[in-house]
Amino acid sequence: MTTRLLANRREVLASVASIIGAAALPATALAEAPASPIGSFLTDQRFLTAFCDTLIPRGEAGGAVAAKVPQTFIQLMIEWASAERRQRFATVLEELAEALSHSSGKHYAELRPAERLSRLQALDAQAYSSDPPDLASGYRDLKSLLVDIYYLSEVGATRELRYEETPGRWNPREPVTADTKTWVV
Amino acid sequence: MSDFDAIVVGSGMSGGWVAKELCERGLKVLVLERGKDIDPASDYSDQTPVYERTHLDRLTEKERAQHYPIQTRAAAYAVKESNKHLWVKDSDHPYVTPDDKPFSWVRGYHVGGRSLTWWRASFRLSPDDFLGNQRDGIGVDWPIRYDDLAPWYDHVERFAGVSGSREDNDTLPDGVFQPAFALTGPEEAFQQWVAASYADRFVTPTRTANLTAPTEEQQALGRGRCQVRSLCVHGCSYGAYFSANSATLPAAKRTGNLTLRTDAIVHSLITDAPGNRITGVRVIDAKTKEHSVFTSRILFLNASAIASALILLQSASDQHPDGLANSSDQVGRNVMDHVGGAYAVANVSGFDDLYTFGRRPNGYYMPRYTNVGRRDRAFLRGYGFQGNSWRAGWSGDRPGVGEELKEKNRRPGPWRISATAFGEVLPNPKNRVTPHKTKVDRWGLPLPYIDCQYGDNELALMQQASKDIHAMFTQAGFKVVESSETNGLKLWEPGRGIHEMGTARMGRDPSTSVLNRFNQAHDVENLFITDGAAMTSSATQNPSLTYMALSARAANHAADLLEQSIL
Repeated sequence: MTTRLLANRREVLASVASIIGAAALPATALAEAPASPIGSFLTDQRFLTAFCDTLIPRGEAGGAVAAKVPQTFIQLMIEWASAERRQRFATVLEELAEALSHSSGKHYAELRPAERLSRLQALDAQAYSSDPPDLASGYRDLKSLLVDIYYLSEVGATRELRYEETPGRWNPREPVTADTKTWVV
Repeated sequence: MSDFDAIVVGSGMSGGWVAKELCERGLKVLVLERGKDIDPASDYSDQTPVYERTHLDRLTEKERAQHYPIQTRAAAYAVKESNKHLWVKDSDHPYVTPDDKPFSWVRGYHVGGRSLTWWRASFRLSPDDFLGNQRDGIGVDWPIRYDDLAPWYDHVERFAGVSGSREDNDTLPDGVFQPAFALTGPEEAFQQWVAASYADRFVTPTRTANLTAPTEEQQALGRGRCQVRSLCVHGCSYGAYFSANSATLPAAKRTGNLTLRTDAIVHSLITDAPGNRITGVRVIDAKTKEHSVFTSRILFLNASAIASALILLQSASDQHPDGLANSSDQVGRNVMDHVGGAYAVANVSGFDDLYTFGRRPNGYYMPRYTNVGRRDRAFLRGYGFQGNSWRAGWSGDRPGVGEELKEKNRRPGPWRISATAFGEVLPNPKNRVTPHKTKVDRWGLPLPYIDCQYGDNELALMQQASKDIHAMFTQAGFKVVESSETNGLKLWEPGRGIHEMGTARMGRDPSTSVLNRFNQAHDVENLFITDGAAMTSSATQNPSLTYMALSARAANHAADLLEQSIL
């Protein structure tokens, strides 16, 4: 495993900046970042991106990468998550990276997309089976958050699903057609 | 010479109504609001698309735990990152309960109070609701009957704007309605099944204070039609749901008679030498902590049931050693709410060809059907059900990954229908709020000590409600997927209904009640209380519409007394 602990919030923010571009961070964020341990969730950015891309692939509307799901996830870990949740997801990501990568010897991100998908499908099936592995609970929580991030992004809400900011009317009997998509909210 | 004709303590659901009515009667009115002012341009968050909301609009976990543990426990559905300033920080406004008697006090300290974030369900009490205490020998009898309040229900519904469907049934009297939000297919099916199965039960669209056909009067206040966004807890830039901010305070302001003072925490009420009349209010500036006094001819307490009672108890003096207007010893007692815990969610088949357009701001309602007009159950009173229906949407916690997961989420899921019971809580003098004997807040005022718990009747109500809704959904042909029958019934803690009331009850006898039939204190002739404190019984309906009607009625009565030089 290629994990390492990031020393403090400043270092995490620097890593985020490298992924999403420093312009996306508040101008004062780096300067104001307090020095406090936050865990290791950013240690394998390639895995996070590959995992998100496989979980929510591009398709016609755009997937997790187009919706900046990895970046938003990291931002949530820094700004929103409790220390406990941050650490838990860091551990889950490490365990997932190991579970999904080790048998081939290649890093998950280096596998062909079809291989990444089949490995994730197998893990997902186990997680929802009647005899789930220890990793299942953490995997399902992480998956839920990443999917939340995706559908609550502009790509997910307006292109993959359907979003009407101001409906203006109420019709409880709209006919369903072959093109009907789920409302995001 | 007084500074004002009237002082109103509190600018929310009921205080706004008092201010409007008194100002429109030509009185000079000072409204004291302990919190901050609200500017819709900066304080409402309804214009931000879902994908631009910070942190998915979730409070950070640290902030939630440190500052909003109670608000989010009771109102998780409504407390957002973008509207958190519309809720108090529990860390800034503590109160004390016995360790084994939790109480959730959900509040917002700002102009408009909880009228900005309420659920907007607007039901009248029924004629029978005013008779329950007398029939059961519980508490005291209401000093008014439905007919006393009916014209004032008309009055407030006409101005506030309530959408609803006429049902011609005395257990939920009809009112002045704008067109209702139509029921969904599953709700209509349930409505029809209930009508065919029971003589004493019916389902109706929730009567909700959202404008569906604004009147000229409402449009003149800048209010528009509901845009069906279901963003009400963010504040509404269209002014489409009733709030003090969108309706009553603007109406009061346009008279030129309103003075609104924010950051004004009431310390106590000041009386004349004999102690029979209020002469003024001692106020603490929330920011500077400076004290000042304002005087008036009459005073209305509309600070909310718990706060209004505490103000009276904090106003103890030599003439009133047990607190002002408290010769009955009932101030602060009889804390009521609506008890919950019984619920069910079911899948409904047969409507997969239908979906919704728009986000309806409410759902459906089934009013109380037990012990109506007579005692027909082992327990007293009853419960109503509030429900909704929807097609299951997307989820991240379902089997599948990749395109398979996206495809599952792309298609609407099964129809679901839900129902949650709201049960009547009986008045119990042991359930009370008092000023804490030693602990004070940052302004030096005693912390509230809330000692309240539910009894056998509240538990019996929810046990039956749980059985009823599970049985009704099942017998209607729905498949229950989750319910309090299968998961175990867990009663809400008091306060969780966010309908606390009863701490200065109306009644005929000054020795057993605080207020007379016009919400005027028995002991202090120029003091009126028209928030939830005044309620003699809780009924099962969401109470705000009744607070509004009592407020408008009492305000006009007080204005009459001033005109006649009786006060």
